[in-house]
Amino acid sequence: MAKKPKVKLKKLEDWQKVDARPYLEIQNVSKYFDGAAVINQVSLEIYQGEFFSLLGPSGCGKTTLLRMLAGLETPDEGKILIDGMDMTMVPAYERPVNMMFQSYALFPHMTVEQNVAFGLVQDKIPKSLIKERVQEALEQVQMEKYATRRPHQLSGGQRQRAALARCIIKKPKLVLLDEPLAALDRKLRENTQFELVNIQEQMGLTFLMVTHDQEEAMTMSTRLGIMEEGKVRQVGTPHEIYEFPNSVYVADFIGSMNIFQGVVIEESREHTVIQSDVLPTEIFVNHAADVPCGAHVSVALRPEKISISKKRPQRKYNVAAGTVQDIAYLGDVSIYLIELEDSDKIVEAMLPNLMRISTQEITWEDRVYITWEPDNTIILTG
Amino acid sequence: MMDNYFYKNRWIKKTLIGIPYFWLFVFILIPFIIILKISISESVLGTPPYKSLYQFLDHQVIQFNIHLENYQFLLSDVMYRYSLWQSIKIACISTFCCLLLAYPMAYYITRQEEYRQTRLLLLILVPFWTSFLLRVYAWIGILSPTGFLNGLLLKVGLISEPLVLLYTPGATIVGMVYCYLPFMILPLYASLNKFDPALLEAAADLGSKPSRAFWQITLPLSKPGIVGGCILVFIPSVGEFVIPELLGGNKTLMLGKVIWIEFFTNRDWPVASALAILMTLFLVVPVALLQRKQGT
Repeated sequence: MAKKPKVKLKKLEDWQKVDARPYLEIQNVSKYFDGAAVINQVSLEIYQGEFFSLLGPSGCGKTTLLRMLAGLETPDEGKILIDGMDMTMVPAYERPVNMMFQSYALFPHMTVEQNVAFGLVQDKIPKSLIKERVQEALEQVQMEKYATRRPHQLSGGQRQRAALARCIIKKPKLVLLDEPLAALDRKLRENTQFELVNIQEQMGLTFLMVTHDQEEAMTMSTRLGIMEEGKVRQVGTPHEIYEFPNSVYVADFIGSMNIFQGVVIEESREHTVIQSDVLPTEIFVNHAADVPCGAHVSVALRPEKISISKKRPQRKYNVAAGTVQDIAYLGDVSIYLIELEDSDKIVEAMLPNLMRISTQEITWEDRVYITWEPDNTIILTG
Repeated sequence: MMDNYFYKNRWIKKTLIGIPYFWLFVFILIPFIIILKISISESVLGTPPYKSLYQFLDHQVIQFNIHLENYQFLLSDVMYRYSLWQSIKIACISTFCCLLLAYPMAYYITRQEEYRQTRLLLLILVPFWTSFLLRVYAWIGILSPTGFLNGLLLKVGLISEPLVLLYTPGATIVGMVYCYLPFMILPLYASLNKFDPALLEAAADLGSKPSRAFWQITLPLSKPGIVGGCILVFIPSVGEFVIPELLGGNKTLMLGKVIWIEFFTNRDWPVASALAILMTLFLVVPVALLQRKQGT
């Protein structure tokens, strides 16, 4: 549900323009707890109208970073600029930023209406205007019917909507979402993903979401940042992150990945050949690796980019033989775990289930060949 | 299995619930009925100092002697109204002072780490390990003209002659606040402890300054604790006898003292009983109304 890539329509997104000014700038921000860096020299630029996600395992510091943007924590080093203004030391109640908390943090003694109005009441806006805008916000999240209910009278999904309405009503410069969908069940989560993106686009707001769910981050974001141990490892569009990871960590974190260790044995401007101990043939990649011959590299290969056959493909490169160890039927696709001959390396391959009645002749304990196109491998040096 | 057995066995369930009810019936309801009976009897000189409610005249004729004069007398006499007024005034001030002192204390305790919370709560309960009477006596030592406080003030030079602190309504209030403070802290602590700190963060995030967020979020959410604590302090304060007797002197006439005088000095049991009944009604009715309002 990320916005349709506009690159193909010849219109550049903000972050692709050379002269675009970032809306949110995080400059070398660090935060220490008991001497250990929770956030380590993070710099990040987010542009107006973006839906940016910070993705990482729990404990990677993504929530701490989000709380620093909200003003609930102060960075020990570095600066935070929003719309060109230094916000590093501005208290939470004076920042043009609103956050949706993971627990929603709805005020239990107030109705949905009062909760949503809370932000406007603080700004001493005339009552009639508040009423109008609350109504508008509730309509936006389809909660008009529940305006007079208390939080404990709402379902999880309704509470989530009320919290969303409360955090967008002030039309903040930056909306922070802390695991906004984590408490919802799968079906509701998928629908809500669409709605969140729609609201963000309609209102032209800038969203920054923290999540540990890569599927969620991939489907909703215009760009995402992958975090590990207080550092941002890679920033890019979902497509860039998935197809062009810059490190073994990112490659492994997003989706499944087969990773082979190897040594570059041939290297030119058009291609690279890598020798791996676990594969009988060399790996042929048709792009340059920017490393000299003899360098140790990792080669990453997505499961869906591998094809399986019982007959040996007529190829010199990118072929290996193995035995089917396990097959996982997931409905839309099946995942094959293949143990390579001459090594105990297990390769994961994914095939779509195109027919209702299985016509796959490949089954457990079969001897098969795997192969892949030279385009589809990624050489990782990091 | 155990749970199931317990809930299915109605006999066990009834016994477990029945014992406390039986206890309440025997030790609260029966004495209350006796007091109620005495309060509508006629006062006489003798033992007991009241007339039986009924007596057998000739053949199968029973005469009932129900006197409502006691109540009428109480309502018409200025002294009783004055003592009622003073009781309420002192109890109200004491309750309010307790609330003001206890709220920051309870709030502070809930913001500590768990092991410290237990220690601080224990410290609050430490005074209960000595006798209530001794603790009140200690205040005489502090407040008397030759006591600790006056001595200190004289030494520092803030005053030139001792202040009259003891045997005043003020001394009574100090004693009450001191004795009943834990009863305010504990319910406040219980309700503040359930409070999710993320709510204050959300309030700040939406533009509410910490000082405003307290009135908008913290205070309304701790209302059950405030109500509970006030009831626990106010009710025993109104009928308190020992503290005004020891610290209040003659100027502090509270209901507990008046009831005592009627029972033991005047030996007018019916009037004393009527006074006790009125005080109970006076306390139970508003509390019951308050609870009903909170329930809805």
